[in-house]
Amino acid sequence: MTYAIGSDGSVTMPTGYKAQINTWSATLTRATQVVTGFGDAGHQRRASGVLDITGSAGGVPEDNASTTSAFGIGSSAAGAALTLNITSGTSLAFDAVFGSVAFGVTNDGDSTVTFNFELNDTSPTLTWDETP
Amino acid sequence: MSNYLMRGFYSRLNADTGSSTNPVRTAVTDRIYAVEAPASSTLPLVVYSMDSVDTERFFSGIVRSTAIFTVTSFSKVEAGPDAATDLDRKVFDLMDQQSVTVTGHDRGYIRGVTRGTPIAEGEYFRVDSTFQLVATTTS
Repeated sequence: MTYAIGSDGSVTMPTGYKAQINTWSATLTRATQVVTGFGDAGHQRRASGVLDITGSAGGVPEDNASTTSAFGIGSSAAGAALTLNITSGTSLAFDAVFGSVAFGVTNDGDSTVTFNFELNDTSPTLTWDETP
Repeated sequence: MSNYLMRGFYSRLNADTGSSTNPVRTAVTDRIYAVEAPASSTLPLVVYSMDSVDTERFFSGIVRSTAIFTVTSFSKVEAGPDAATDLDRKVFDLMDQQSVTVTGHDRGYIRGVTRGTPIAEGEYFRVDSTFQLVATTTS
């Protein structure tokens, strides 16, 4: 067993969403509903069968070379393949739509970019390395 | 890695900005030293040192380094505090917001962080100013 650390991770961004990435986060959710009725001793809940993913990936913009544009949101509204790696063998791969791209530039500080994404339609491929 | 940052910083201190010299070199007659000056050196002079280097890692393996440098301007106390601050101003004007070449990095970008004030210490005034050099490895 190996304990994952941050530098084991990586991300494969779709074309047009390029940056030097050093952080990502994602939340997998299912909607739940309270179905408690009279006579129940405690709350009852049911989870939806539909999985959702929302998250973001952030880093530093690049330029002065080909295929470095981070402006994918300006040219395509379609979903695109996104792979989030926790380690080299453990990943979440899914089609994602990008709802927003946030840039930040500070004169005596850093330039940053954050891509915010959501799951698009298809089920994600969740891979967990359980090789001893 | 750090030696490349030192060399990059020094390359700007020693840069030719005209007439094969620059205002700082002219003011100190090329007496620019790393870490410490030789004993009994003639004043004025400038000493630079690298105080710390913070690193930020990216998933691709690239590393961005942020190095903090202190540049200390020494001048004769009899020349007065105005001469001391004038030398520090020349250093700031030369170094602030400048791009330099750093081996193995995309570039080095230098910007002033703090401006010093003259402090009398026996036979000399000293003014400490700090600068930041940011450079990202290319592979």
